[in-house]
Amino acid sequence: MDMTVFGITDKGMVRPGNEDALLIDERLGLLAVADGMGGHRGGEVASNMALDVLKDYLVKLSEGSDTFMGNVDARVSKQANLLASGIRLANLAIFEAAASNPSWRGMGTTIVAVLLQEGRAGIAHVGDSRLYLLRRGQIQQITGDHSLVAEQVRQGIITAEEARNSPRKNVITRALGQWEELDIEMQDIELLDGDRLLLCSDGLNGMVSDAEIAALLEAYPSSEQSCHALVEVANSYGGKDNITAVVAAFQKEKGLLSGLKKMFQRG
Amino acid sequence: MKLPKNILSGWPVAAVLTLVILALSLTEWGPLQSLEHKSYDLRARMRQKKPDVPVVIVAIDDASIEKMGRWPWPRAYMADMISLIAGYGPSLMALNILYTEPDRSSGLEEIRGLRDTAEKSGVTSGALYSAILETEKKLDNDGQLTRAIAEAKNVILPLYFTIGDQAAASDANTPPFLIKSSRENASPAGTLQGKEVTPPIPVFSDAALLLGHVNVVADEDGTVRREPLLIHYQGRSYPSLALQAALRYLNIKPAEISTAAAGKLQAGRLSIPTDSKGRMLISYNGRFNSFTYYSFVDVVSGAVPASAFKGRIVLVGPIATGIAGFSVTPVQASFPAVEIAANVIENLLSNNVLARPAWMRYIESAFILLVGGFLAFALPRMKAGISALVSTCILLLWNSAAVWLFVSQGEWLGMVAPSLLLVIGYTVNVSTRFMVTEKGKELVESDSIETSKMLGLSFQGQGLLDLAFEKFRKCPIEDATVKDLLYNLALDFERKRMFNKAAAVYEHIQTAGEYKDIKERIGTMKQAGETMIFGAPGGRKENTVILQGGGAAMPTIGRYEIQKELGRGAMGTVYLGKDPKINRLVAIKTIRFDEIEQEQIQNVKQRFFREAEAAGALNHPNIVTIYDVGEDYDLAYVAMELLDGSDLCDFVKPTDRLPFAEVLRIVGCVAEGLDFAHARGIVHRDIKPANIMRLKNGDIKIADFGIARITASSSTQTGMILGTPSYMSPEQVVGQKVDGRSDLFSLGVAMYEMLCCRKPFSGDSITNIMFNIANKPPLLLTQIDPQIPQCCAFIAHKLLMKDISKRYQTGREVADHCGICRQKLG
Repeated sequence: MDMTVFGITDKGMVRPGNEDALLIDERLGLLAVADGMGGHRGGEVASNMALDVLKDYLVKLSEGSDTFMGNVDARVSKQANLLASGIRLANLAIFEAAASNPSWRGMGTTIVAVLLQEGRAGIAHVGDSRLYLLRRGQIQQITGDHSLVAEQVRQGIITAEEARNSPRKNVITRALGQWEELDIEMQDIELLDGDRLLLCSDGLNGMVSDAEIAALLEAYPSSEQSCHALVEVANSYGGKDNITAVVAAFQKEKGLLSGLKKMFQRG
Repeated sequence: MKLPKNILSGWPVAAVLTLVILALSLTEWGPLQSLEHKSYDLRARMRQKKPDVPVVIVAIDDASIEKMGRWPWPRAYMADMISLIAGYGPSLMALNILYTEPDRSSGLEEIRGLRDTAEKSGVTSGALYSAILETEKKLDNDGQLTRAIAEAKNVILPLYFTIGDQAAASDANTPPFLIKSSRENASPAGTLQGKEVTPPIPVFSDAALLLGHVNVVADEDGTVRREPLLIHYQGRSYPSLALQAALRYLNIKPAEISTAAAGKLQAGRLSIPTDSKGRMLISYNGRFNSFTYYSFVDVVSGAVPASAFKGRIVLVGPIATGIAGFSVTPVQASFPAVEIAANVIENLLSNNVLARPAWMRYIESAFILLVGGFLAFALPRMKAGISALVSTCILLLWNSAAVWLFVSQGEWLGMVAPSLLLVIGYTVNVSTRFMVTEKGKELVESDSIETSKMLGLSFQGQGLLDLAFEKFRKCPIEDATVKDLLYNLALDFERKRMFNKAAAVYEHIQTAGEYKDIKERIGTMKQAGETMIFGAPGGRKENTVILQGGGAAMPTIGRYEIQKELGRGAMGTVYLGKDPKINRLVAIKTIRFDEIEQEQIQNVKQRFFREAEAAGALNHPNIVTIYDVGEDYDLAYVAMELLDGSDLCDFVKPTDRLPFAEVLRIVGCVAEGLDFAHARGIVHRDIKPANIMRLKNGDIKIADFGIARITASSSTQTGMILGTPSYMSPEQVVGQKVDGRSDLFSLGVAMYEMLCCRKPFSGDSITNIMFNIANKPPLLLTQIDPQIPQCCAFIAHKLLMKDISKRYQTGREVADHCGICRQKLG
């Protein structure tokens, strides 16, 4: 699979700073978005630390390290497990960093991360940052938010409509940096020719509806253009939170040239 | 847990493997030896070259048999040929045909008998007598051959030994023909021993110039690679036919043979390397027919010119099917004995010798050890591609050296043992690597040390060097990789000009001994640390009170002097403070507004102060008195009554269960406090055992009125992690507006828990707990523990009604019911 990917993060119209962070590493096949929380720059520190630690971890693995954090979940792919392992490490790092510095106390972050390999995507996420899949014009939310309202909707305590208007819309039930133990949700998807993935923070999906996101992605086939468009629209609706979007488009490699290229890359 | 490094990949395996191969190689273990022999044979085939020596072979081949009749031929044929060739002037003739019995086939006895009879009857002349004599002479094949041999003067005949332990030391009756063909040798160290000798019949032996043995000795695998140059028999050494021929050709007498030098046979100008048993390695010149062959029948019929034999060594031997001795040789599986002898003669005369000098063994052993070292230490550290390349190079290098030595230098260097070691070692390494990587796919959890290392590196990468140091400190300093990590960390400290910290890290490394240049560096760091003048590190804008540091001034919050930290809570830290004005000790609770959005902070603070002040107005014996609220920089604080007691968290454990009457008293007190507050429109929102204090004198006080949920409920923008929702009311769970009855529900949860030590609503996740609070009725207390009095259970369950209207409506009612129930219990 050929991937063209672009990401953008914007502080929005209201917030003084940007606590979101994004990570794109095409060599590792790693995409991630984190949304930090906690005052005094804590949120910014947490989200960036999460992504840095995750990336470092995966780089070290690719260099032959064999450290694995936590328990393996055999139901999902190795990729998803590796992400989860890296996220656990990041969680510990943030947790301990927060304990070490009074101004960082209580900081935390959400994360949604994708590790690609050979047309498969391992996915791990914590919190309410989302992964969407756009396939043949249909948008599908792959990750389920770990937020109070989302879980209440899942359990039937409140309706989706009530959730949209709930004052606790932004209360999340899981985040990195809060406890030493972290429950990470993992899954896998197979990618098809023409698929597009969108990783975003709640600053995007809180402002722009899923249908609008789908329409925008359809309207702009280029990853770069669609990122700009998504952020622009979110800002035009008020941009109340930081907005981050990473769009990746997948295409089957075609023709002799790509075959040759592949051969050399393998060799 | 760190990946268990497979034991097979470690150096012990390589070491054991090396020693085993070394031992097998030194003891010449059969299978290894036979592999080595195979490689020998391969190399031997590459060594073939056209022989250039004056050796010709007269072959008793199939054509001769066909033309001259069945074998064995009358010995006269041989006699005729010897006479014929002798006439051509050869250097010498060597017969590879052993005549051990007199010829009795031709009726000679009869004729002799006839002659005797004639002589006895006096007939010693006349035509008949001369005819008899003529016939006798004609039939006397042995006589003819003896004469031919004697007349030729240069015929060497074969002799055969039965190999085995020697029967007797020496025999005075050794016939002269044996003596002339051998040399005395009292100490035949290691040479082949003959048990019994089978010479040709004495007439031939006497007539022959010399005798040489024709024993062919094969290796264990049945291949003839060596010629036993000497065989020891009864105190004398007997050269082989080929050696005898070569010596004769060079005019060296058998007596000149010397085996004094180890691994060598010397005779005149000949110096032939031999093995420990006095055998010579045969360098075969090629497959069968590499030498000049003449068919016996052609020679006899005169078809071969005299020049073909002049001055040459003529070997006569059978090659015809069924009569010749064939052996397996490195060059060919079926090779006639006569050509083996030809090859030996060629080897001796043109010094085309193969040797296995004693030092080869040392070289091989040294190389095996070297390969062992490579397998143990170098290979495991190489990447897969590199290791394959290097291993192949070593393999090729050694083997091509061995081939080159063999083919062009005639020196036999063992190929198999080192190659085998390398191949097996490499295979083991690769397969364990494969297994390890296979295991790697299984993703084993790493141990705490590994985690500490990873975290330390992460922190270092983030520039959080102090945290990194803290993590690395948890790793065993003896580990070289940890030392390296620490060393790099110290360098980072240096780069940040934090010389004292760098020195501390170096000193930590030093606790496990010297490492790199740390000693010098500590000196440099200390000096730098002393001479540098540091400004205040960073702006002193930290939002907590700075308690560390031996500053003279007492830290303060607002007007309160901070004595010490009492504890840390979810919202902030609690300090012991002193009000200097009235010299009263107070508890100071600080509250962070970190989670609150910048644009909301004013709003939230206002709310906080409003509520805290309202709570401050609550003057009730069951409510913790608030003296003061205020803010200092970004920190809000509440100064309140200092209490000597503990909260109720301890009393919900089965081990510290309170008596039912005491539970009723506590619930009653809390209910009264709540009633008082609710009547003034103040809702606590976070009633739970942790917020209810039981003092040493028995007083019950509700803490944190009004401020408990402020920060939590305000920080809705980014999202905030909820604490445990176990004490939430159903209306809190779904986010509805709450009033005092919500507090009563929470009190019910606490009461339920104190009565039976179980939470009424539990679950494995926050959302499950919330779901249960909203939907599931709690288990009946009397079912859990029948001891629980009915009235207690009734109060608790009424507090826990999900329907607000069915619950107690005021704290007063609760307090009253508790009082009644207590009276009932007596």
